[in-house]
Amino acid sequence: MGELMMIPLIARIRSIREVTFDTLMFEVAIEKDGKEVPFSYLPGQFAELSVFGVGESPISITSTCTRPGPVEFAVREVGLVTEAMHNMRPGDMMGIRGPLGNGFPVNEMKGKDILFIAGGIGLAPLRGLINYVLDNRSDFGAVDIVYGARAPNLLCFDWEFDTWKAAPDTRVHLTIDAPADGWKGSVGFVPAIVKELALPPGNRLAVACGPPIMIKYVLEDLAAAGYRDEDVITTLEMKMKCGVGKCGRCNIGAKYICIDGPVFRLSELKTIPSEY
Amino acid sequence: MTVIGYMKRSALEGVLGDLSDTLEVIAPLPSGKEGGVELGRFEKGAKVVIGPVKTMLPLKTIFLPPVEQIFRFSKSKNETMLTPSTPVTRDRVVFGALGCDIAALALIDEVFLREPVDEAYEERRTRTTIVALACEGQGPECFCASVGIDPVRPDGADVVMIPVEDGFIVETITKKGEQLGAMLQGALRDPTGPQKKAARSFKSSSRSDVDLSAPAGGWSAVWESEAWEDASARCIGCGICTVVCPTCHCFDVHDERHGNGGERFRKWDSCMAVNFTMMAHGENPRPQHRARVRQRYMHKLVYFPENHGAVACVGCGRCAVACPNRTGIGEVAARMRDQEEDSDG
Ligand SMILES: Cc1cc2nc3c(=O)[nH]c(=O)nc-3n(C[C@H](O)[C@H](O)[C@H](O)COP(=O)(O)OP(=O)(O)OC[C@H]3O[C@@H](n4cnc5c(N)ncnc54)[C@H](O)[C@@H]3O)c2cc1C
Ligand code: FES
Repeated sequence: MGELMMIPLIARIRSIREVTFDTLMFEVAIEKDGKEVPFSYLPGQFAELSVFGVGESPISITSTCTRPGPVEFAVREVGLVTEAMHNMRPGDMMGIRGPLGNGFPVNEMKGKDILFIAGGIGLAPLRGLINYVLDNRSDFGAVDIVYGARAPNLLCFDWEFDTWKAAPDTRVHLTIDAPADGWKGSVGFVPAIVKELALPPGNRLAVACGPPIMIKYVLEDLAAAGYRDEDVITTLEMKMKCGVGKCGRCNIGAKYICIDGPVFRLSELKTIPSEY
Repeated sequence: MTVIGYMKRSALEGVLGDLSDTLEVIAPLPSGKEGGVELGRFEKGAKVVIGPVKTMLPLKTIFLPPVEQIFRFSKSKNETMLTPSTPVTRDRVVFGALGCDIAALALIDEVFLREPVDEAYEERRTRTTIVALACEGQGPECFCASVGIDPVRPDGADVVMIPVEDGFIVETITKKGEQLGAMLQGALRDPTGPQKKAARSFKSSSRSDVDLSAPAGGWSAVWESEAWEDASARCIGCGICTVVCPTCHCFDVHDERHGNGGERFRKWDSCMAVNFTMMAHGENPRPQHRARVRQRYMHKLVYFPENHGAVACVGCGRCAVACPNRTGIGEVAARMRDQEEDSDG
């Protein structure tokens, strides 16, 4: 956290990289009183990023704490704040409050095989976790990454794929929704590819992030394949303002996504209402 | 609890005037033309309304103001300077607070004082001394006694004033209260025997028969309850219940820009508003009125107890009075429990 709950530190933009046509990745250095300060976080945590005079938005940290240096955020332009972010340039300043939220249970994941399942920008929070796992490769078992988007140019972080494929005992399964010129990977929705792979539960955890409809089918299929609820991990999204459990906006039942989440095991989700 | 003396009603404004030399004094003051009463800053010469009145807005307004600046910012070419706002400039005392409203602060504390602590709220809390007015009950809507609140000597008060004859018996409860008590000494006399007796036997008429207990089966037992159909059919979604509620604390965050600078505010918000949960893309997880009504009551009666061990209602009855359809939380709670029995049977 910054010093004060609602007062951001400064996140100075070092560089901006295009992720897809509507998503940019910001590499930022965190500053306090004009000096760069360290920022430590866990994979799966997020931060409230602000454009002063426009507003704040919760954005997942997509970099990994195993690689010191700028902190990375991939932002999709969808409304006021994200549009204002897309108009920023290197050297410009955002506000940042964080890290916020619980993050992935990385210690409890050690020793396990991991099946990562992501759709679209859902790869943003998982990218941090995947790189964390690969940077601590010997702590984890086999890694499989199933990732899909509607079309090849909508796959986020495509510069990572070759590195991931080259990592020991790691496989990357890419898919797009419909055939496209020059595409050599699979075609089909993410849940179908997961089903086809048929990786048995055993010592495996499944971690899924993506659009609600994808998550719905994936969770059903994993249950049918024998995955226990404790071994299935996902993230939830809900409108947020404070990010610290005060403004009362992001609850589902008695859980607040901003402090009790955004990461939940399926076993926890079964204790809260499935509607909001 | 220590009785420190008797103060005549007619001395009160003078006492507050003296205190206002060193403290910010907040008290129930006349508001508008219709005999309204609101908490406000007491200035010398003002008349305080102390009597059987409940302010329309609860005590929370002085700890979580309806609109509050969080910080100001100014931008130059290379830097952005943030100046956090100062929540209070002087120590404060609030006079004439009622038990229901004071009890509500303990519930808001559960949320705002847990980690990460909300510093603005905390500073207002620690720099404010609360002087309660023992409450004899303010009409049929009052049911604080039903939710375990003592309207005469409420927990959370630093000083209690108990109306007797044409004045008050003043009792100090906490260290902060003793410090304030010392500043009141000049206006106090030794109480007479009958005055002490009257203070000891002061009683409230608050109802103790409203049952807000949650259904035994928790949220899942009543998720599909018809209570939500009934309550939402009677609700016009105006959100006044959340405005007047002493325990509602939801807020929105909002930026404004002026030239090269600007400010960030927070302001009260309401879970009854359609856009409360409306996300970018127009996606809304609580699109129906029914879902929002359910959220409000479930939060008070089920979720808050699950997280903090107490219902988020202090029995002030303001919601039922302010509601265009006079819906009270007690009826909704009863309907939820009935529903559970129906589905059990
Ligand atoms: C834990 C979490 C992690 C997220 N990670 C990312 C990410 O890595 N990349 C990314 O592009 N998006 C992410 N989002 C979604 C992102 O927060 C919204 O798209 C963004 O807030 C929209 O803001 P806006 O001002 O552009 O849109 P507007 O519609 O103008 O929204 C106004 C305000 O409402 C709130 N709001 C609106 N939609 C959402 C939403 N979906 N979730 C939360 N608050 C919302 C925000 O406070 C926002 O500033 C995440 C959301 C959550 C809850
Ligand atoms: S965002 Fe404010 S409570 Fe979660």
